[in-house]
Amino acid sequence: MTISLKVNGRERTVDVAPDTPLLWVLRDRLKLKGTKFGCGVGVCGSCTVHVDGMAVRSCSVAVSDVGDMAVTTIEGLAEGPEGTPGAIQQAWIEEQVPQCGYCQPGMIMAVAAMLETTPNPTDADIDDQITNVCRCGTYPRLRRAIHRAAKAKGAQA
Amino acid sequence: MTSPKSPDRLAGGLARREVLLGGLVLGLATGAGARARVAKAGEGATLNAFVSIAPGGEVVIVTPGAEMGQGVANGMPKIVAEELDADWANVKVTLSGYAPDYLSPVNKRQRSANSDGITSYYDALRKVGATARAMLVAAAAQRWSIEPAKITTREGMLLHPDGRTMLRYGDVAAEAAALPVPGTVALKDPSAFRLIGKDFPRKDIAAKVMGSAGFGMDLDLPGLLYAAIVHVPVAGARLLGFNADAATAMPGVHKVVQVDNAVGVIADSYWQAQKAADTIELDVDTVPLMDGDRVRETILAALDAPGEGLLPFPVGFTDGKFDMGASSEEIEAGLAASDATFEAVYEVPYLAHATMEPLCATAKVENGACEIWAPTQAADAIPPDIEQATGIPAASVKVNRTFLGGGFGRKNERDFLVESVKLAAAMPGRPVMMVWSRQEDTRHDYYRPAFAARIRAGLAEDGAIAAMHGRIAGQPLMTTAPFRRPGIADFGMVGELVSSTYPIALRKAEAVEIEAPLRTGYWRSVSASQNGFFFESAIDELAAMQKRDPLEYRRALSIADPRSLAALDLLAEKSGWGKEMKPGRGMGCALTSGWNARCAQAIEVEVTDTTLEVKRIVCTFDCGQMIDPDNVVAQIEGGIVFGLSAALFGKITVKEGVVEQSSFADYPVVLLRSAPAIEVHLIESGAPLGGVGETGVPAVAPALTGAIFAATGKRVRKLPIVDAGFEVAL
Repeated sequence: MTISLKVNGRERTVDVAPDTPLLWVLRDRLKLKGTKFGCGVGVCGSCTVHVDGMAVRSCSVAVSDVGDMAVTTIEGLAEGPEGTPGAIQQAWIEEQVPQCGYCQPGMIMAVAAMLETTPNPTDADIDDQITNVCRCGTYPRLRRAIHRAAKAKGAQA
Repeated sequence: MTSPKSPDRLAGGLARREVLLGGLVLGLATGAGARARVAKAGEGATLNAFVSIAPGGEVVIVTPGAEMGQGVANGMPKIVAEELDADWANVKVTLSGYAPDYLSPVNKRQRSANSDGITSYYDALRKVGATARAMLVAAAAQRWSIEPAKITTREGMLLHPDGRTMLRYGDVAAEAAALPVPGTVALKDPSAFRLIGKDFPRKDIAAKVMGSAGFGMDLDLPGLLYAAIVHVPVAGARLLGFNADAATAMPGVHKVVQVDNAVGVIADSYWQAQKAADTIELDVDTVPLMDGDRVRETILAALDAPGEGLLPFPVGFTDGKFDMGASSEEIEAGLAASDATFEAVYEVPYLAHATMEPLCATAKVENGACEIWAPTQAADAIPPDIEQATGIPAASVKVNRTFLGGGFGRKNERDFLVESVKLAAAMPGRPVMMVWSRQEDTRHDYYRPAFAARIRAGLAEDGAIAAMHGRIAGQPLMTTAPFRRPGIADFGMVGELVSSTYPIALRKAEAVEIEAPLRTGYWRSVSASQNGFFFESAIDELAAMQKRDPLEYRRALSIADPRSLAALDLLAEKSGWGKEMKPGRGMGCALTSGWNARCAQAIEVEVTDTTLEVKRIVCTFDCGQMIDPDNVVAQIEGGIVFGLSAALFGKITVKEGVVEQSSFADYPVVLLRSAPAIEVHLIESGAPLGGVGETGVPAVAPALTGAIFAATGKRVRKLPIVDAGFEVAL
């Protein structure tokens, strides 16, 4: 089935079964490999992308359900010229958050969505909203990086 | 950091052009090598298997380690860059595949395990850097017709003694590559280090936050096919046959292939393959079904009635010989003569690794040879394993490694690599990327085994430990050579059971092995993951028995070890040990000494009714010399979270032969909201390099159960803690 998608600001057309999870369309058809497969059941958050600005776990969304909503992946997150880290990514670098790094694109996408609606999150807000799994245990740095990113984005605004 | 995006980029970690320019290989073990092909001046060149220099002066350094988060794609190249006097900002790191040049001269292996990446390569990598530098200096000396000794180097520049004339490394790299490799080179005095021991951003992190770092599944190759796989779900059972009629007819499916005890589906896309795999019906033979409760009973019974199966284990290794410790008679006499005796039984369950990246590997089989691209901790062990499993000669197996989305020991196993080659063999000439579902990953692990141990100890009047006897029962990790010596218990099972952290006059450790059909293997910190809990819990109980403060008691036991004392003293200070606590709060501590490090932890908990909350973890850590101190902190933080997940919730259970867990939904791990505040304080002791990656894990469980004891008076001797009637918010 031919499905049209808007991904990172571009119109894309793919020929896939309609129940194909958005994750696998992004990864294997559109070659956007930054979005990761972690559990396939919506628990770990490695596959988090934005659909109309909302953080969703793309392993659990059928591509046919996306419709004309705008999809943003980690590759489309950076605000500056291509290859330049955005404020959140910069905060991640400054706090040296990643270890293996596998969960971090999903983590960053979850945080980016949170900061849109909760620009100055408290620790309790973070606890409520960021439920992605990091097996390397980067949580202490992650929390610092979220606060740092919120501050940096606030300063930009 | 270069991501392994294309096969060229993966070829031994070097871009094709750089490979063609060079050709000289500097053997790590021998330090010798042939002459390089002469390239034109100013074109850059490959100086040895680790170092090549681009025309503009960019230095490309290969890491021999597998980057799974522990930072060897930064720390190892940094050691080379230090002696090379490279400009670190101008260093690019590439990942290695397997090559004999990358074997550690210390252990003759190339694999990332046992927290020995830095310790087993440190001297060799310094020599690699110093050798490359000496060749660049010699080339400049020829150019300037002066003595090499008159030339100094700084951040990628060669400086003429006139104070004005300079050359970039790239200017003379080609000439340098044509020079003989010096047999001996001078190494820097550590006081002159500009990189080692100083923090710079890790080279791999920018790519990891941009989403461009290449993990196992991120590879794209021309003609790439995908495979999903289903394994026989019943532990110990064999696959008799299968029905794949539905799968074969599904869109995109190329082939359904039996691979030993599993069936793989090869399709145009992963999703097509997985959907088809989900429809396959497996015909499995009837076997006695493994049941977790029965295994536990067997383990506990084996502790009491070991029969013939009692295997001794050395309590030390001195002068190249095992110290087998005290005899049974000596231990019994020591216990009988003690002022007070102690005995307790502790238990831990099976554990899964649960890496974020499920197992995956890509292989291409063609003309009797194969090429593998995979997130693997192993390297040199892969070709012989492929040869044994498939008949493809080891010499015809090319191994490329990607970034690993976590390893923790699981990705040192080669089962998934063998599977991927067998699948690819069904589609000759086509690369096939096999991806395990999370459920397969959780249910077909090489688990940290369940164990029970009985610790008996006798105290002298002053509280010194006069005798300690540890007996452990469970499935061994390793059963065959070269990992086992005849008549000696498995190190992965018994190591650190009766630890050498403290002096104990009479020590004895032994094991009883049971048989169960689950695969077992290395799990971050290996034997210390259970024995740190067993041994340090016993120490805690010995303190309690004497009504002594657990930290003070450990301090008294450590009086002859300045490093332990320093760790405990700093821990007392930083944790506010001994402070007044409100009811329901408690603090516990533990000290572990594996990998030539000292790791002391204090954990504060609050218990309200049955609800347990971990408030804070303070750790003091001394691994001796450090390459990347901030990364040491990160590794210890991560090790603590890893240990905490296991201590609180970690449990794999088996019912009617099937592992009951299948994802993070039923194998929970600590999340951001359940991660306590963690403070890591590094100690610069001046000790030689120790290991880091696994070192943060073992102290967590005993410090945590010690804290629960302090808060409630209840001693948890069986993990996970949630099974002891405590509720823990996830």
